Amino acid sequence: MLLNYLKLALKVLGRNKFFTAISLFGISFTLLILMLITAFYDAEFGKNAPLTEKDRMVFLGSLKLELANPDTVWTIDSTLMDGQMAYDSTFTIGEDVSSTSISQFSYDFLNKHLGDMETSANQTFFSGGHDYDIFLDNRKISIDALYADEEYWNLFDFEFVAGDPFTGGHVRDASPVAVITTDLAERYFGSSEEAMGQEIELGSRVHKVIGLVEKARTTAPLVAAEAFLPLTTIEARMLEDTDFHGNMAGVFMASEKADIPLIKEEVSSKVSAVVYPTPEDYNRVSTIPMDSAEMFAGMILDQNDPAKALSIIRLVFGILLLFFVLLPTLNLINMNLSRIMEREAEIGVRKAFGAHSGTILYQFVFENIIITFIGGVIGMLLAMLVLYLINDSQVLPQLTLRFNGTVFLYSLIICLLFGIISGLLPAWKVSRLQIADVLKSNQL
Amino acid sequence: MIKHILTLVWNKKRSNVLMLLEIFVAFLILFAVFTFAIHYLRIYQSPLGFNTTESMLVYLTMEEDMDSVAQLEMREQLRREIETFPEVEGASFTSGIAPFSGSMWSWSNDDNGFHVWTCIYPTDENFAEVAELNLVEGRWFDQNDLNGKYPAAVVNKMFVDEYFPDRPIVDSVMQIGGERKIVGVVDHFKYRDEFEAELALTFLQTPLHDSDLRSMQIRLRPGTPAEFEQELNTTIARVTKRRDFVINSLETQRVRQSRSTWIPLIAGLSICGFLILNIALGLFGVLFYNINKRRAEIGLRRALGASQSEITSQFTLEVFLVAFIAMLLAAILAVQFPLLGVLEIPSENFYWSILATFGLISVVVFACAFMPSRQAAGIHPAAALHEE
Repeated sequence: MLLNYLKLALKVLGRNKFFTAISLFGISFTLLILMLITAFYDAEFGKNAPLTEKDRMVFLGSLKLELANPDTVWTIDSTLMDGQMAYDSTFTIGEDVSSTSISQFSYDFLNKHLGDMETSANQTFFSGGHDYDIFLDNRKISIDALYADEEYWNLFDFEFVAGDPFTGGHVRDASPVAVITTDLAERYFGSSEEAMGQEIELGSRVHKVIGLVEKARTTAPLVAAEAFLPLTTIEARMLEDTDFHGNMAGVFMASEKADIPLIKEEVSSKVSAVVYPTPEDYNRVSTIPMDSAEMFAGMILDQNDPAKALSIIRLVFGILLLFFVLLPTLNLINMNLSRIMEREAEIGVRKAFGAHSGTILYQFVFENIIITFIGGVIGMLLAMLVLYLINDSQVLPQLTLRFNGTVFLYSLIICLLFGIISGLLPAWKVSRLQIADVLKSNQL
Repeated sequence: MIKHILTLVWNKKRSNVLMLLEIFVAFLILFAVFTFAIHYLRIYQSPLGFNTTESMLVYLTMEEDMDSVAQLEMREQLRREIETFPEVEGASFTSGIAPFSGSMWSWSNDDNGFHVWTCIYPTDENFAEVAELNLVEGRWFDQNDLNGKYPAAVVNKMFVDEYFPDRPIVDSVMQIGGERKIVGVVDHFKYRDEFEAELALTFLQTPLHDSDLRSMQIRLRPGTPAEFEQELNTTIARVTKRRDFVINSLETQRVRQSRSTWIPLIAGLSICGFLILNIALGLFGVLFYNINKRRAEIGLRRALGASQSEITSQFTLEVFLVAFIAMLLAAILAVQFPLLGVLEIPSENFYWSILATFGLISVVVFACAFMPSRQAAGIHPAAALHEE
């Protein structure tokens, strides 16, 4: 039965080549773009190494210091009563924030106030965004380095190509060792095989390469570095500075996802309990801990409240994506309607020989799914080509887009939904045709 | 004529509703993308106000425990040594708030008797020359201003237009983080992003001992080879006795910064292009089929003496009317955005966008309807009537 439908579908496709070409163009390009969006989304926000466990993490954003004073606002209303001016005054006690300072945390602050968490299973403090320029045989090599403690490697599951992460011993002794990405190894040493055990000059120190990792495919600064160094090899003043602000970030790992609100709560309350040493400068200390979705939303949208940024992004992208899919679907429905009406005579005959409306409905939906799948295959091939071109041209240098299993699965689901939705209405309409009318007005 | 066609459209309302819906949705998508495109491209058009070519930006690091005398000496030595290179035209110190750095410092107060909000850009007396700023009034601050009664400042034209219009601002003293004497006005300075609207801005003259001056902008002679960066690197490392500073090319920074807007903009516009093509092809196919189904009607009209062009215009107008109704409905929805002011985009951009969308869809619909209509109208009445 299905084989018959398949044969029929292919035959129909061949009959009206113009319509088929338009349908296939619409389907394949729509799916191509949906696949590109999924690939991009997966690379940037997906659960890929080293962020496989991101759903169990709480990320520290920035530390906000404020000087807030009570502020009385007087409002005076004047009205004309019996020819006389009458005044009515009301006041509200609000708040006036006269000074605000937002930056990352200092190591001292993190260690003192958030080093001992009850609700989190594990935690890491690190400092990213250290750029070093190195000149090697007249070539400039820019390196983005990140200083971290040993727990960093337990939270973020980097794919080690060779060697091992640095250990607690390395961090304690401030050993000049480094874990670098294969990408950097190729640029610095010429090939990643030779890099192990060699020395790399970063800042004023020379570090020995003890591990090679794959570069993170996302642009999230907490993992997107090229060289990872023990936290204690950072300049001493960054560790000793007792100022609240510094350039450290922190991530807490929950033992299970349900603990995330508890960790957020503990972080917020511990931070707001801290008193700034000179209250005349700042009298309020606060931070907004984020879960992974909120952190990524904050990366895209510059919002003070990451939860709000997330909901805005969801809304905007949801509407855009809906409209974007709706349009080709409508187009396809419109075309399918015209196409199917061409085959009224065929349907009339089939019905006259006893086919049920249901059978005809199935047949047409099936045919449509076949077309969508052919379009899907073309779209997928195009997607692979375009992904290759995007990666090759380095338009997005920090991102590597991949066509992986997840994207493939999503694409299949998209194809199926697309086929069913765009085929259902025309098929339903045609399956309800009256036999007599159709046979009377059409020639076979 | 229109009334007659309206009746025709109404009679076939069930087959027209899908097309109506399609054009409605298409209008809204195009409107959204065009609004952002027009908004950003209009900002992009306004000048940056400074020259990014042949410029280097150095993010310095300095020991924090140096006293101000040591800092002053180190900066002076650094500038002197860099300026002695024959490849260098000039060097100027700025704070971490440098072009395309993403940093911003703003200051707002009503100490002047009226509300003033301005970006602050601390820098030294060489900056106008190094960045090639265009002064429209007054002068840039110089060494002598450091000894003046009030520290000197230069504002941009935007600042004057917003807070001091139609009055001479040069030589007036204003409260901008302390009393400052305004000595000049530059026409533009859009330093954060080519795609970010220019804001009111004040350049504060900052003495070289100030620890805020953490970066350096250097202008090179045209044609300086890229290898010169290494010489620069060794000199800076020797003077500051540190290695963890970064040298960037300003032009590269500009391109990189703009890319974060260009990529979504181009992606959005190409998706729109694809959607338009998709709709055009689909519409063409459907109209081709539908109009050809009405051969009998065409034959009859032709036999009764209607000319080819009359029939063509009837069919084209029928389709166009449906499209027009759809666009009108969508435009009513779209016009709510500027009226309600939900987005921080100047409302004229919305109106331009509605106009552009309207024009584009009209052209597409017209082209897709005209060709099948023209072809169908060309048939011979006898042939059409005979077939039926």
